[in-house]
Amino acid sequence: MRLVWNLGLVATGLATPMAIAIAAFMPGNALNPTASRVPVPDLVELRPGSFPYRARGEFTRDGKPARAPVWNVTFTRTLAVMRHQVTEAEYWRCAKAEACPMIDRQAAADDRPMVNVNWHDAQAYAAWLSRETGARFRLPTDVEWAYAAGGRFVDDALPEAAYGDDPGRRALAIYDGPSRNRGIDKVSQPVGTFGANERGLVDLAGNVWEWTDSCFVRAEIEASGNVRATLVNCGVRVVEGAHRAYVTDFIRDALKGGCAVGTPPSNLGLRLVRDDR
Amino acid sequence: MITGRTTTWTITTIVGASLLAMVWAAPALPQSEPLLPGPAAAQSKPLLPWLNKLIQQQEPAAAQSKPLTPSTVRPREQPKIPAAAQSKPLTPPVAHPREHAIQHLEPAAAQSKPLTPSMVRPREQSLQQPNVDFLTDPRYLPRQRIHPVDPPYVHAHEQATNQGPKVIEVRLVVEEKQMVIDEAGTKLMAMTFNGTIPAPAIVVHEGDYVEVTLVNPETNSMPHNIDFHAATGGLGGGDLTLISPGEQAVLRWKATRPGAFVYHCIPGGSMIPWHIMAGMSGLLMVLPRDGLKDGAGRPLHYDRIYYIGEQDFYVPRDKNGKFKTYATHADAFADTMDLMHGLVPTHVVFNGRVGALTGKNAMPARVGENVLIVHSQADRDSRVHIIGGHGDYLWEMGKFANPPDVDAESWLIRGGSASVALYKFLQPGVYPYVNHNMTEGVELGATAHFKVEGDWNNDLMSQVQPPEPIRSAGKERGKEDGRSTTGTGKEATKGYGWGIR
Repeated sequence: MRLVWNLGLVATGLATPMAIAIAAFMPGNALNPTASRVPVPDLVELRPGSFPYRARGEFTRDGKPARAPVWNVTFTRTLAVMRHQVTEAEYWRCAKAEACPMIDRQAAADDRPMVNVNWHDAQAYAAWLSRETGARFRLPTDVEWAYAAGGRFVDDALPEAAYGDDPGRRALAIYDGPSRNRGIDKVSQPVGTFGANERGLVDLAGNVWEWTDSCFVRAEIEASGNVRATLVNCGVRVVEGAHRAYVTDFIRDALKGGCAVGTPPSNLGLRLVRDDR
Repeated sequence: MITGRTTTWTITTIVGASLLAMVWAAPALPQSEPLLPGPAAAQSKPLLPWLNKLIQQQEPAAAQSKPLTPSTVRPREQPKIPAAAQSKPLTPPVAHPREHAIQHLEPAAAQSKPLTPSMVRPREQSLQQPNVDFLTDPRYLPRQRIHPVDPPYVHAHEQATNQGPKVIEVRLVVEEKQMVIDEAGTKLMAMTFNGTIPAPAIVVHEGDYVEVTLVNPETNSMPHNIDFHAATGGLGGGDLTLISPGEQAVLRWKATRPGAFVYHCIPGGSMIPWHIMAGMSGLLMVLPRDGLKDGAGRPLHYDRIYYIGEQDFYVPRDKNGKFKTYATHADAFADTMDLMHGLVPTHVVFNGRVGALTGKNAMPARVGENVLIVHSQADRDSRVHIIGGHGDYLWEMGKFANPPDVDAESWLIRGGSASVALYKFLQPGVYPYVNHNMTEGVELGATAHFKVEGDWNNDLMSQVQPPEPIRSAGKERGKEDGRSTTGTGKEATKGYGWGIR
């Protein structure tokens, strides 16, 4: 049985009278809605468990491109994850408080996921939300995201055959992969449109990808089977959604991905986890 | 029920037919044989020779009201008919058509004499006694209807033909509608020929006649017409085809210059740029009768042909920077024209929308196949490049009487023209085909993809060493940005060498 915390409702109920009381002592702030306490978002608490994790990054074996390995990863503690992606309303509240960057973008609607955010915007939002709620929030790691996504995680590793000596075939395999060849749908949809996974998280792998805190890795699979990272590039972070992608941290619209073949993420948004450490 | 239009048509027919009857009745015809001994004509009585003539003149409809003009033909305009075609009997004439025509015009003298240039009649006499050339007179040529297909595909056609010239019939229906032009759902108040942007490609051969029926359904709101850059005179046909909603017009013109040409709507004034920017342009390609050739005159062929129509769009934004949506074309006009005057498009796309030729719609090909890429831009200069590929043969101005350039890198598409490139793909993979002003290609949308299947050629390219750390700098193991978040759970330790996170 999963424990679902709905702190949001509780917090709102308590916080509102307090905020009004405080506002009385803060001239000029009385009518500012941001002065009221920010509710703790709706969180889903995932139970501990194990799952096979398709390693992120690019791998070589014997000096040739190789398929990413799969590792069994165990979570020994619970993991509290936002039920839904951060919405327009939530992000703009942070921006109006001048804690998040104003993004040159026409807001779609309050109940839609915030899109066109880069990794730094996401960091700023996590910091602001932590300050406002008193709980610590951060972006998930890629492993955490994959665990939370459960059945919605898309393993887009290419078939073993695609890692031969034929770069053309590999390019075509990537291009034709079902997760890549899905068309681009930039119109963000109301929260819940893409349904919930078996853990109750909504809109995973819809048309809004989510930033993770994990960096791009290049690694070598040694003869022993050990994996040794040869490069970690934290200027490029992993984003997750209908397929995995590596996006430079200041990019807000991955669609403008240069000559990259295949379909880039349609939109970049975020979903945070509570940092319980 | 007789509508107003039907009545007009009937009157025109009668007047036209009467005029022709007069022209034909004027010279004393030495024999009562019909001009063309077809089955219907042969059965009619010699009592009414003029009626026979009238029956003969009923086809094609467009020719009815025009007297014939003399056929003093420049060598350039003479269609090149391969030897094979000349020996074949052409339909509808049963005997050698040229001989038959001479027989009719000079019954006594011509029968025994071979045809010589001196026998071409001077202009004055021709007006009275038309010099009918069955090989080139569109009234007697075989007719063929083309059914255009949606770009980037092109209707089936012969690359070279041993048939004589034909009258190629094509129907283009103007459709005003709203169209989505990017992945954000931006809507353009579009105008189209046959519903697509670009309008469909039409392929004919030099010496053919193009007989286009332009239809402007009553559901439209504006007059439209059509200007074929390949046609000669009359604003490329625009002058003779301007039709209001509820009308249609038929235009016939002779394809005298081999090459790829733009066609577009040209209704006058500001309507011209507006209609073109709303999507009303397409491609008409005139192939040499004996096909494409390289600089040395050797024949070239293609295994596939793709038509890419590039289009700049100007969609106005509201105060918040969001693209505006309009209910009617009239509503969109003023804002759109204001934006167009700035000459900075909001979208530059291939085939009507961002991503129209990528992903599932990428253009397939195979290694070893020759692909003919025909690219038009009716408005604005562009320059295209195949990333990872070339142009083996390039007609940058799109006109086939010029020898093609070879080994092209990027090529210019002059606004209001079309370029033609022939390329044999040598490696498998994905080839972006871009407007190499990369802001336009990537940011504004002008990117297409070729998806090429086949075997990799290591001689042409091979990956000697996949990315790895710079050797001289030593091999330091990566460290993730100094932070030590190790996830919320106890994880496997092998990971990337420092643990998974």
